[in-house]
Amino acid sequence: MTAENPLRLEYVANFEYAYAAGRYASRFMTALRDEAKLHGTRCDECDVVLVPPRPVCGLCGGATSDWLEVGPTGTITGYTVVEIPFIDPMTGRERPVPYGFAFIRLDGADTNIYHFLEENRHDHLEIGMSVEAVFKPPDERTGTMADIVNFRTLQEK
Amino acid sequence: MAQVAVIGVGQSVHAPERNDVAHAELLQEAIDEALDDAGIELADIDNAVTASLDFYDGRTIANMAVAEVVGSYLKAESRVCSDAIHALTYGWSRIADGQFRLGLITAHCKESEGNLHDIENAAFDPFIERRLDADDDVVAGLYARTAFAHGAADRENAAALVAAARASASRNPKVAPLEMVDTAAVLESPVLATPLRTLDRAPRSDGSCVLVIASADTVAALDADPVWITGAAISTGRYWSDRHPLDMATLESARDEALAMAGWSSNVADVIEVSAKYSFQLQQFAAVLGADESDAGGAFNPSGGRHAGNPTVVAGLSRVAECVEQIRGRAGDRQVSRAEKAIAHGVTGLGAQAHAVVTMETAA
Repeated sequence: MTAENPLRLEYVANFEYAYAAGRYASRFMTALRDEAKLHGTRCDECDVVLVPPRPVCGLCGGATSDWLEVGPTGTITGYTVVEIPFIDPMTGRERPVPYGFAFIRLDGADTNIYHFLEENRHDHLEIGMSVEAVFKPPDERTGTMADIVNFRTLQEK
Repeated sequence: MAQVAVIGVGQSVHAPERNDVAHAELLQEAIDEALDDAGIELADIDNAVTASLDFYDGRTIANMAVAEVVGSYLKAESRVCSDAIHALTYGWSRIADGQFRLGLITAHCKESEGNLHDIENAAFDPFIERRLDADDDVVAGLYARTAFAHGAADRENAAALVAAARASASRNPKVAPLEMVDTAAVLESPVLATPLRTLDRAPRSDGSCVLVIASADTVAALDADPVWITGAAISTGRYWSDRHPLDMATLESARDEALAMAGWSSNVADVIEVSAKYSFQLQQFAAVLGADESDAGGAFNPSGGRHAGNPTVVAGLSRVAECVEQIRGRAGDRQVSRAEKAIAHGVTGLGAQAHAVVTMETAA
């Protein structure tokens, strides 16, 4: 049987959550908000420094007892320049394009975080460039990754 | 078929709101306890079966969020979006068929973080049903009316089971204290969906539960304290709106298969842990499983069952955990004398669409 007039049924889902950030993200976000500092945890077994901090090393299963400061400088390990506009969930507004987006290995860390880049010209970027976090002013920080505006490059290509 | 045993049990404290921990941290509490109980390290496991529900966790592929704490890097993790007793039957079959030898079965859920009505409503099909805005309580009200009318459940006795569960909860250190109530208080609590009252529904809860399971040769090598899984069966029924509220064929088939596997006649269990979100279901399921209501808090649901406060997903695995502790003689103030054989039950789906039954005993 074939439907002669196939229908689409519209449905708008709106799910609200209040996530408990928990022990690790709470401490990480609090230091970001109050001190503009970034932290990771070090694996007791294999010494890998994990950012964002977490209770267990996923590579070897070891516990992570030590907290240490990382960044705010780091290295681009991968990047892209995005040219498709989207609604930024952090602001509810369309994010202006183009914008740079990168994997960043913060100094002292063994894992990447990803964030926006101040630089949005593809030919001005390359893997291995040094970058530095640009923090919002203290009174504008709320304890989210948006407390970092973006990362600015510290060298020219 | 290889023999499979539970050699480690862990549970977080289950409470209405565990705002102190994120999902992975909540699960890690149970994992640490289970590994310690089994006398192994996280790196020793060769596979994991995790249970969680995306809509409760508020993210898709929610098992990714717990991959690190379950130690599944480069290992065979698989995930069940159902009650975790289904994860146990899955993990059990992995070891029973000889492919794996030492596994982790994990369950976590936080009922406190999302809107329960919206999450439950999302289970209904989006074509015909969802716009009618039903949730688990509406289904339960429809079912309960029929169950009470036909004597498959009794209004007062169902309320009495809630009161008994809360009394049992006071002897269970893994659930947060609940207000003690009597039968009258249950019957006088605010209406949920007639004929059910608010206290007929299990309390909202956040919690986690984890088992370590092992093959017989691994049990011997580790010198572990095993409780053997001698029967395990799951059965899926008709969709809730197509199934008559008195139809217990699904649970009966899971029961019959598990008992046949164990080689038991129907009433040899010393402990029966039954999982049900609503009081009238507890009566119906207990009757099928051969649990005596007058033993509530004793041989029937010594843990208090789900009405003592276990979240969805986790509830069925918590029933297994209690059976293991009972058989090992480690159930503290709840200990049932001569607990050598036990039945644990879990349920999932709208109007209890799918059931699982697991038998456990001291010898393989």
